[in-house]
Amino acid sequence: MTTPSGTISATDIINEFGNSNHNGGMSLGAYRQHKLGNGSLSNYPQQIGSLSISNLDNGIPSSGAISFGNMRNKKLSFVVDYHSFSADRNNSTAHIDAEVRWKQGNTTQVGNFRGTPASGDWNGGKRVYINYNQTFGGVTNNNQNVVALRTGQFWPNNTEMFIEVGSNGRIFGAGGRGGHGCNGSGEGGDGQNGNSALGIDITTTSGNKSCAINVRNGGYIQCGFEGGGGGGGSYDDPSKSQTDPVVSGGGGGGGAGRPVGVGGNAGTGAQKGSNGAAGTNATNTVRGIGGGGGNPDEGGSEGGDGGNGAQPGVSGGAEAGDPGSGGNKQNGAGGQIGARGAAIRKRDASCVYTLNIDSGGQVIGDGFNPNTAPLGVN
Amino acid sequence: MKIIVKIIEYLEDTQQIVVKFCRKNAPKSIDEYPAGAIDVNRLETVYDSQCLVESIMKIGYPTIQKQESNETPLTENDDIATIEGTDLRDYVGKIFESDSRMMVDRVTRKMKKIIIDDDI
Repeated sequence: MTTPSGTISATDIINEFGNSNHNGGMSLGAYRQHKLGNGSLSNYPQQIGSLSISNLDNGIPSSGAISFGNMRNKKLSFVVDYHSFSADRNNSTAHIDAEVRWKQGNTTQVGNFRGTPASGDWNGGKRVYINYNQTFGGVTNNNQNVVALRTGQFWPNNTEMFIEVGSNGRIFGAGGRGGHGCNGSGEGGDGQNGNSALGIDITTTSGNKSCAINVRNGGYIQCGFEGGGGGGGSYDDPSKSQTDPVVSGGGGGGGAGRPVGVGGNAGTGAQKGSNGAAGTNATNTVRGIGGGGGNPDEGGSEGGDGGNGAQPGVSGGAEAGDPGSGGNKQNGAGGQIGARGAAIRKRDASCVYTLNIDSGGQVIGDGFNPNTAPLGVN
Repeated sequence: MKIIVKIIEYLEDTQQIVVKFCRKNAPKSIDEYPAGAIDVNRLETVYDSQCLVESIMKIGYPTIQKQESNETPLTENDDIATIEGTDLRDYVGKIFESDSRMMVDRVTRKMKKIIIDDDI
């Protein structure tokens, strides 16, 4: 705790919570209220993003009598702002690290009597809320460790961190691209990996730090889903015919995520037959569809269909591309599926967190169980 | 085979539709099949409804084929017999299978003699 547990002075209170009076002094009664932007005081609750704060700290009255004794063993809480804007890592990297946003002063303090505390003001501990209450996406990257948002690693000792995913908070990993349709009768391209939504990289096994994630009603964290494989091609030499068709496979469907997994390219290089079609792009929550394989002008060969991408709620995940078939010269193999990102991942085993999901909140993907969350945050 | 499609959602901001496909005589409701996304620029929207629907169906057809191949047959229908010979008395009461594509693409031709001529 950051105000003394024994003898306490006005200076101790001002150092922790800021000055509650306009004249540079301290009004103890003012701490029962919070300060508005225009400088006037207002009764609690204080609304910051999706958070409704009921008092300056636990045990400090918000009405009635207040004494210096009520201010002992108390600490400042502040909220890192992820509720006033929406962004994808694909477009900007400035916002992704909550520690950086804190150090840049993008916070609101409970009570609103002071500015953003610096590391040197930590004074025994602070309570930090990271309030995700807008839509955030990642960046298309085959590395599953890449996340859309992360806590930041170097928080001071005695940080009590709460990640609050509010009712409008939606955090996505990027979807994996579908594998490309093959060239000629070759092999279909492999689907790409999805990446991850939220990275916990604050060390909590030392320095008296903690991290709790609360996903509120309507809050949503989703991994980036993998792309489907591209289809293989086929080369046929039908008997008693001068037409020896080469047909290519279709592209795989993109995996669901944000940014969406794009569909794999159409097959190329068909001769005396058609190329496979491109896979379709996914949406944030719905997979892309694999493109159909090409068909020959003659004979019974077929280009392989691209596999569908993956999405929430579909067992089995993405589909591999189909191989080319029916060719008596060559049938290319279908491409493999990508791997799936995680909803929540940890930098390493020292980044322990707890996860609470309120009714109506959702966490889709690995990290649902904090003990088995995948390691590595980038 | 008749195939059906249901447009679940039109995402105007990204110009995509979310659709579900299945066979008209599928064993479960189309709502129970997983959805997929299609970019509107892949569709034929210039002409008429038939062209539009067919352009959607063309994209969904491979998915429908996979649905069919992934359906689990009834246990009673999956006890496939293998019998040598053509004595019909051996076939009575047993179940046999063949790929329907064989009925369309190929015809078995009975031949008594094949002449192989290197000069062709």
